[in-house]
Amino acid sequence: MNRDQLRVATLRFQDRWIAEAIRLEEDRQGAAFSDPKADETARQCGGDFEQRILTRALTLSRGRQLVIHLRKWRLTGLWLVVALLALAFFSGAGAARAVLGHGSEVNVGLLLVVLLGLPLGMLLLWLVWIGLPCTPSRSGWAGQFLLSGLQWILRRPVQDSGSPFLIPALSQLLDTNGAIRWWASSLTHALWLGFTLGAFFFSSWQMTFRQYDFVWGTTVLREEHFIVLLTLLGTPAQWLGWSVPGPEMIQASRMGIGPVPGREYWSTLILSGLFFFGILPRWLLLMGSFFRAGSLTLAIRLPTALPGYSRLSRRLQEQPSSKKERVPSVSVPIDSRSPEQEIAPPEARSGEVFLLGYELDRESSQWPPYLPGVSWQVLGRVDEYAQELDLMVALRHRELSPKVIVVLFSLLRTPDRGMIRFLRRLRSTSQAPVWALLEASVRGNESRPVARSRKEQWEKMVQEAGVDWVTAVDLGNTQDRGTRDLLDRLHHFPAEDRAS
Amino acid sequence: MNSPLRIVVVGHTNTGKTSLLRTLARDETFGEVRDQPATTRQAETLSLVLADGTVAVYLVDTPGLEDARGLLECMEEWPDRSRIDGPERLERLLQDTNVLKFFDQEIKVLQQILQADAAIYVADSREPLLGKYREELMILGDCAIPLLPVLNFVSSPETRVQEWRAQMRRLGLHAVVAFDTVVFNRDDEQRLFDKLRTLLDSHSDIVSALMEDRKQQGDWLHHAAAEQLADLLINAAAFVRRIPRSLDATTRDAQIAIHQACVRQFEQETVDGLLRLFDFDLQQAPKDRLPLVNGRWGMDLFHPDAFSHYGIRAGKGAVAGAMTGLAVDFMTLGGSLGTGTMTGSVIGSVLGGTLPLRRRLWASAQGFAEWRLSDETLLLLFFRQQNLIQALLHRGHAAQEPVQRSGRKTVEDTSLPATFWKPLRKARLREQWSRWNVEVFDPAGSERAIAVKTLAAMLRERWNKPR
Repeated sequence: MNRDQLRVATLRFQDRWIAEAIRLEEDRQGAAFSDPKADETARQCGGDFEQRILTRALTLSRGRQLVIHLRKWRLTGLWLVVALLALAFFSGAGAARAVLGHGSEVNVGLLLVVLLGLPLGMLLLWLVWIGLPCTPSRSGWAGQFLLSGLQWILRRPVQDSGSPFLIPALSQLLDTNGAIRWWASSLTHALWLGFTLGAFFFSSWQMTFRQYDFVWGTTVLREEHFIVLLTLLGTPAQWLGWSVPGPEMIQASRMGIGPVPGREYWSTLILSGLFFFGILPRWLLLMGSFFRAGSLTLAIRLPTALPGYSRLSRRLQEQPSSKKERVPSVSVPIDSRSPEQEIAPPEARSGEVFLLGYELDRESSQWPPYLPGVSWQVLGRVDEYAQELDLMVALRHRELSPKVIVVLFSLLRTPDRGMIRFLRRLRSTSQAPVWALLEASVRGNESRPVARSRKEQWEKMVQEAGVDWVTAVDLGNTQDRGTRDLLDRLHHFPAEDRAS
Repeated sequence: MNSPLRIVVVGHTNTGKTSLLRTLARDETFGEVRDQPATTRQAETLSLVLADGTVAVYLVDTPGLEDARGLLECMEEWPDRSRIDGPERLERLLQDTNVLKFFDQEIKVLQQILQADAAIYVADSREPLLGKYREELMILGDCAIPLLPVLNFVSSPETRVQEWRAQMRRLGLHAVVAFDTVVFNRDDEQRLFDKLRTLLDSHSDIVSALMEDRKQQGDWLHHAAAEQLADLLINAAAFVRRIPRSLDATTRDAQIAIHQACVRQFEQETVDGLLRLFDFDLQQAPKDRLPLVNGRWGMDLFHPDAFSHYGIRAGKGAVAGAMTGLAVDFMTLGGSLGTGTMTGSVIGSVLGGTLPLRRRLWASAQGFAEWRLSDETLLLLFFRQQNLIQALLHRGHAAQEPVQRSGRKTVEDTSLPATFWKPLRKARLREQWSRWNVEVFDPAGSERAIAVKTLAAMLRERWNKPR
């Protein structure tokens, strides 16, 4: 990421911060600010949903001078951190002064524990804390602790500034991906770095101009432990070729043994120890935490699923369906008149009752349907174009003279113009009256319920096609009204033609 | 990126073409949907827009094909029919005077197809694969553009999706998608786009962008709905009203009724928010699409029937919500609202609470009792809104029948895991967490934000679990 990109990303974060502050303010108010101009600007500038929220927030923030407040806060925060760092530095120097005193004998053990042991112990605590799984409550706890402290300090100025949501907004925003943990870590490392630096510089200063005899003593610990510890402390310096006290010299420096040897060796050991075990690790960790915090912060996106944002989605985004267009098409009136309209009036004719099935839901075992007292002359089923052609050919050429053609339809089909064309062709091919039977379901077949409106559509369209009689039937049930009507009609044909 | 794709949606009449468009575009107001033939009479275009506002796809809704057989017959009558095929045959068909005269709807469809990059053929999978459907596919085959059959109504018990698939393979159509426009399923939608991407290799980037956009949008909706419900629950749990102890029963009940009306209003606001979130337009959408009556819950939140509807057992006091908090003062509150509250929350509030404790002690000393919603009411609020969200998440924008009211039978549904109660119990004694306590509400406290976030995360996990 180059400089410009970094600047842009930082600005984007600042925008998000402002948007979050506005969201909290709206939440407090109980409703989103209604500013049609801001919404319009957001819609016009486009981008994804987050971008639109940011545009809206920036437009809204202008009236509230949020950016100015934000800059003020950032500066205040920066000064606060500088002040804390200075405090840490002087505490380190103070601690060094306390253990070094004004010359003569200095207890090395005590000095190391205060100037090095304490920061190292704190480092250990930090390691434990950062190693804990990052649940929202834990990182939130850290953030809350940090920022509630900050809030407490800045209570008065915050209330006066008129933008009380900036700091909570920062806290909640940094909490979304755990960036706040790393900012807290950075601060910790910076403070302890300040402390150790203070101790280091003060010690160097004192040791430059004062003369110390470095001694050590212990009642509980064994001598070897002490020697191992001090040798370990001197290892980095030894690698660099600096002279540090060896085991003999350490033994000789024990309290009460006599004149203390190797002052410069001892000071090298202490200063290099402070540098390699105090300053260096903290510096590295500070850099690491800082970059981690920075990259996490720049990676933060607004939690647009929060109710405070999601309620804006309709206002800020174009609706997918808003762009409708009518497509010009050929305007031909829909065919409502058959070319073969003139059909002989229905009358009873000699011959059989012919049965046809049109796009039925029946299995072959359920075809033809059985109706007591009626023997159909089965003409077949029409599901395909070829079957339709065959049927017409049969009707035309085999000189069939049906008494009546009964066509069975399934109400599960949607009536269409293809069916109308078929019926009209049937009418024009055969002189026999055509009766349409509409069956909703067949016994034994599970089927979906048929809406009443479907039956009406069928009746309307079938009549449009010119059939002589139409009824809905349940052929499996002789008590059914349609079935009874059908039987009745069949029986009222001239007696000699009765099919039985 | 390439220019927007143009995809025509074709099919037999009344197979759900407009429904498919509605569902894909998340717009329940587009076109007209009815269970009858020829509902759509004109070709109409709808655009699928990415989150950044660019149009990815134009979907063209067309009138249904009703008489493909008639078209085939016209072609039969041509003297030289064996010599031309493919788009030329189609062009010729469009110039045939017989066709122009009688096949207005079919012509509109074919004209659209000739301008498009691909076509989606919608079929009602409850139907047997009749000759007329094969004839339609034959004519569409002449258009020489990628054709993706979409089998609709696959969630219906009468679906014959396997039969259709087998038949489609015979016709050389191997990329077939099952997609129910009524019972919406995000995975099915992704599969549909995926198949389209395969068919439209040269436009794959735009389809990919659309798929990614849809996925993110779906995740976001899921997330946003969970956040809304979590927010509602925290608000309800932390909600409190103070009623003077000295009131007589009638005045007290009148006061409680006022507070109940407030809660109803707040629940309604959440319902409105959810409908807005899912783009359901109550004015324009058919009214029976959701488990709501005119955008409201049919049963009153404080009526015993509403509780029993969801299998929640609630005593008289719990239903009203009032009696629980009325007679008790703040120290015994925890016990009255459920075991376990006492230990954690009350001690927590006594030790840690600053503002609420002061307020509550003061109010108690002034002779006020606290009125809160019972745990049972919280449960009811939860189940009702969860029901609505599930309905909104899993239904196509084309759904016409009311949602089956579920949740009555399942016993495990009437209790919430203890983990859900944890943030709610915490909220119980933090009145500054509730938006409904307007005077003390503090949106800036990060503890509340964490509680809502935790609850929302648990809700999303619960919804993501396969049922």
